[in-house]
Amino acid sequence: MKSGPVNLCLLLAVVCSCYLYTLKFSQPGGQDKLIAGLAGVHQYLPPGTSIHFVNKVPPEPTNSREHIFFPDFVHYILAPAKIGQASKTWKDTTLMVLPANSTDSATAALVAGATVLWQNKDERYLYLLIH
Amino acid sequence: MHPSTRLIIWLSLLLGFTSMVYFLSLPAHLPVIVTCVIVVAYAFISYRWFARHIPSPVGLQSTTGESARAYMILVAGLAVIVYKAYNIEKQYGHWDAWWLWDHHARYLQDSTYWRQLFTLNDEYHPDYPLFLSSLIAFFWRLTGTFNSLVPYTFSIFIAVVIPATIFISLHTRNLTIACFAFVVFAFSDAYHTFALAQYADQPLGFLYLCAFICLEYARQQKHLITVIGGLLGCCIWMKNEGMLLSLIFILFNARTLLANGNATRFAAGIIFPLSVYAYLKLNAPANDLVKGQSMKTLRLLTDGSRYRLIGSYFYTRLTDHALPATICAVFYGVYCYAARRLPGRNILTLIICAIGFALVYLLTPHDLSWHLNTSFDRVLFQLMPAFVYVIARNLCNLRFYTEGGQFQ
Repeated sequence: MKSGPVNLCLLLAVVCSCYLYTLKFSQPGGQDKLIAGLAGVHQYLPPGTSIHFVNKVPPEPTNSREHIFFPDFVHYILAPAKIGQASKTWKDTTLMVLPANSTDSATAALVAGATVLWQNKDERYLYLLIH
Repeated sequence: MHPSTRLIIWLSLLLGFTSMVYFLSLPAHLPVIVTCVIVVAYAFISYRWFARHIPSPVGLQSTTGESARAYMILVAGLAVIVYKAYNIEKQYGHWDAWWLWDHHARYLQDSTYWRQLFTLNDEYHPDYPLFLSSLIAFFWRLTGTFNSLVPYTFSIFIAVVIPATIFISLHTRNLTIACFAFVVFAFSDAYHTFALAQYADQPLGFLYLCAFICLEYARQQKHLITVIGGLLGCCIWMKNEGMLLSLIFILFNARTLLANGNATRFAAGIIFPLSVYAYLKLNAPANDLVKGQSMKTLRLLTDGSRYRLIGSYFYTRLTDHALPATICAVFYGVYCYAARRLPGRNILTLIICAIGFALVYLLTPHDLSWHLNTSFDRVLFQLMPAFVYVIARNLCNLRFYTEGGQFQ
């Protein structure tokens, strides 16, 4: 076999796969929505910052891999800012994620005494950065 | 060596060099454009060096008919890989892809706070070598985005070139066996699952495979010893296991690599990656497996149940994920027994590597079942490309004799 056609075949295989990959994932999935939902928080978190994380999203649907990955994926999205130990209530600077359908009174109770630095809401979650 | 194999190996070393130079550019505070200039200069110089010092042998060309069949097999096999990749791939890869490698890359793309990576908890393994993360970080910084296409492109490149390199390297010796080796990978769901997981295991397996391919020609083309040094250095820069694999490789091939003045050539290839790895280890915290060792570790060596558990994992995973390769290995073993000869040195090298991995599991400070469950499959696929190549290469040499004469 001559090297030219072989190299071309290999290149085509890689390029085709990349093109198919972009087609397959052209619509934003759950992880993309999470990235978009947290996009605005980066301006409040310079690299190297360490914050707390409170996850108030109930564990449903059961056995959802996305839900299992959820807190760890938030760690990944926020890097190079760091999330310290996960906590149940807010302290210092904290990123809190709640279900999008949380009532105002429930949210207010959770962040009582804190200053809201940034917030965002998408179809699934309410994101709050508080201090 | 086929020119396409040579090109693939050159490209792999170029990617390794890019990763190392980018990592070194962080403490030096070099702008990314300067890193680009260095990489382009290295690409140009190394390509010229490869073309001049590693010529393709003339005697290994296939006939026109065989060549046409080889093209058909290659195109069909690549089509299967592209199709399977489309069905199996995940946008961000499997857990460890974004949790470890891409996570590390996010730190490394920041020229000011990249050292924060080394302050992460042990669960994020901040001591892991940075071939993959640094390479991803370089392209992320260059493009100014965290595009998931960057890690995917590298993973599909590896998924394509592992079977293709084996096929290209063997097709002139025995097209049937080369085709079988290609099919073992192209049609394997397990292979695609791990190759497209965007982990560092398959790239490590690929670099190790390239070292075995180069070794075959190293006696005739002494400059390949430098290339082997570079490839083993990249193995070390890819994963901590790369150190174990490289040491065993060097041990088994010390006469080829280090004797008759070859030590200088070998050192020329490995010194730069090894220095970068040493610099990383000076900055990074200790490895969790090393840190977890104590006097009670010695007791683990005498626990028979641990041996049985590891043995059962070897058996089940080999039969589940690599049955055709395992059957070929058993067939070759029976042949060696019948012919009253020892298996080839390369096969022994890989067997010792597998025993080395088993020893790491035996001494793990973590829960053994958990450790095996979370890593055994991918560790197996680190050795699989080289294993399939070495077995197929040995089968190419087999000749079966009957009373009427010889047939193959």
